[in-house]
Amino acid sequence: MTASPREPGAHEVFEVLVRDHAAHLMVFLRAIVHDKAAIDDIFQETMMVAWRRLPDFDRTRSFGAWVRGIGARVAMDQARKRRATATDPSVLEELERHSKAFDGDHSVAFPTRMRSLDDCMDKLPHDHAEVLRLTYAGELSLRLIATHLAITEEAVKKRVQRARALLGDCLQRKGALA
Amino acid sequence: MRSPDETRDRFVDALLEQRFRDTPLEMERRVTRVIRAVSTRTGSHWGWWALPLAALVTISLLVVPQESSADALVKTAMRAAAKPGDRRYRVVFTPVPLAGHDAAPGSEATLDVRDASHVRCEVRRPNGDLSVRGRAGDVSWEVHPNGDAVILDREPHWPRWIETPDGSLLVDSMAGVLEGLRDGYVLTTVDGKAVRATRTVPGRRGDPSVIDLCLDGTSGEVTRLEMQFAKLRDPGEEIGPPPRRPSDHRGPDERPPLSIVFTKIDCDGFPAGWFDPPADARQVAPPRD
Repeated sequence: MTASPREPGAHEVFEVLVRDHAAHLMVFLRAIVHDKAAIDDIFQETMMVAWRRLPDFDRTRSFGAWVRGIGARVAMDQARKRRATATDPSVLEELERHSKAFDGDHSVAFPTRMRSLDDCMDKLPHDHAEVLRLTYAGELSLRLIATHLAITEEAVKKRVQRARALLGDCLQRKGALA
Repeated sequence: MRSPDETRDRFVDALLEQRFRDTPLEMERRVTRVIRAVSTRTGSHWGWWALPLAALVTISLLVVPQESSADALVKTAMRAAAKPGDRRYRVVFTPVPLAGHDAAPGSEATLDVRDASHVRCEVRRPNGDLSVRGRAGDVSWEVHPNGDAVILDREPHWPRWIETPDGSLLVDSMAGVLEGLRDGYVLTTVDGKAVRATRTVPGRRGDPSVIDLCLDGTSGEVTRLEMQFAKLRDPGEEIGPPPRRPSDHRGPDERPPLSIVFTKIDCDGFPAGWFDPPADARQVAPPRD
C-alpha cells in the first residue's frame, strides 16, 4: 500500500508519479478516446481519481498500469455520458498489452522509450517517413499533403497506413509493442 | 471488435500524435493542473465559490515584506473575512461577446457561504435555466435545471468553466488565481478603502489581469470584488503562453469571461438546513474505480 493523500509527503510522491507516467497515460488515452478535445479533461479526472484512490494502490505493481486502468474507466464513463461509442473491452485489453510492452522494465524514462519510435522512423523508406512527418508534425490536411507529394488523397491515406504498419513491425521487433 | 492489427495501428497512431503533436509546455500544464487541484482539495474543502476569501488570503501573502496602506487594508479585510458568519454574494459573469456583437448575455449566481464546509450556489443562465450546487459537510449535491436532485458520490469534478450557451463561467480558477497572484501583482490603494491588484508580468491565460477589492470602512469586509480578464480574442492582446493548436483548442465557452463581479449582499443568516441537499435528492451510483 502507498501513502494516504493526507500523509506528509504524499503530494511530493504523487507529483513524481504523475510526471513519470503522464506522457504514457496520454498515449493510452489518445488511443482510446475518440473525442480528442476531451482528452485533457479525462486525463485530469483520471489523475484526480488516482489521487483519491492512492491508498488502494499496491506499490508492488505498476503505477502506470494502475492509472491506465483508471483512465480506461473514466473514458468509458465519459463516453456513456456523451452517448458516444465506448472502446470495446477487448480493444482496451489489447492496448494495455501494448502499453505494458512499451513500459518495458520501467527502468528507463518515457522519453527514452520514445527513442525507439524515432529509431524506427529513421528506418522507414524516405517517402513513408515524409508522409508521416507531414501528417503528424506538419498537421497538414490530406489535400495539402496530396498536392505537395503530387499523389492522390487515397494514395496518401494508404501510404500513411503502410508507414504506421511498418513502424508497428519495427517496434514489435524491438519489444516495444506486444 | 477490431483486429489486433487495427488495435496496434491505433497505438502507433497515438504514439505518433504524442511524439509530434504534444509539447513539453502542454504536458507541464496538464501536470500543473493536477498538482494544483490535488493541493487545493487536500488543503481544505474550499471550492471555487470561496474565491473572494481565498483571493484575500493569497493577496495577503504578497504584502508581508513591506507594510503599506494597501497592505494594511488587505490585512484588515482578511481578518474580517476570517470571522465566522453567514455571507451572501451576488455573482455576475460577463462573457466575451461573440464576433460581431457588442455584448453577450451574462449569467448570475447567488453564492452563500457559512464556512468552508457549508456553501450553496444558485446559477441562473442566460436562457433562464437554474441549477443549484451545494455542500454540507462531506455531502455534495446538485439540482439540475430539470429539477432532478442528486447527492454526488464524491467531490464533484469542477470543470474549469461551466458551459453556458453564450459565455463561460469561471469555476475552477481558485488555484489558478492563487498561483497567478503569486506570479506577480502589485497592490495599490484607491481612496483609502479600496485595493487594486494589477498584474505586472504576463501570467497564464485565464488569470485575472486586474482584481479590484472594495472594503467596508467599518468592518473591513470585502463588499465588492471584481476580476477583469484580458480579452483573448485578438492575438495582439493575448498574454501568457501561446494558444493551443487549432486541432484541439477549447471551445469558446471555455474562454475566460470579460469579468466576474462578487457583491456582498446583506444577510441575516441562513435558515436551518439551508446547505443540506433537498429531501428528494437521490444518491448517484458510486464510481467503479
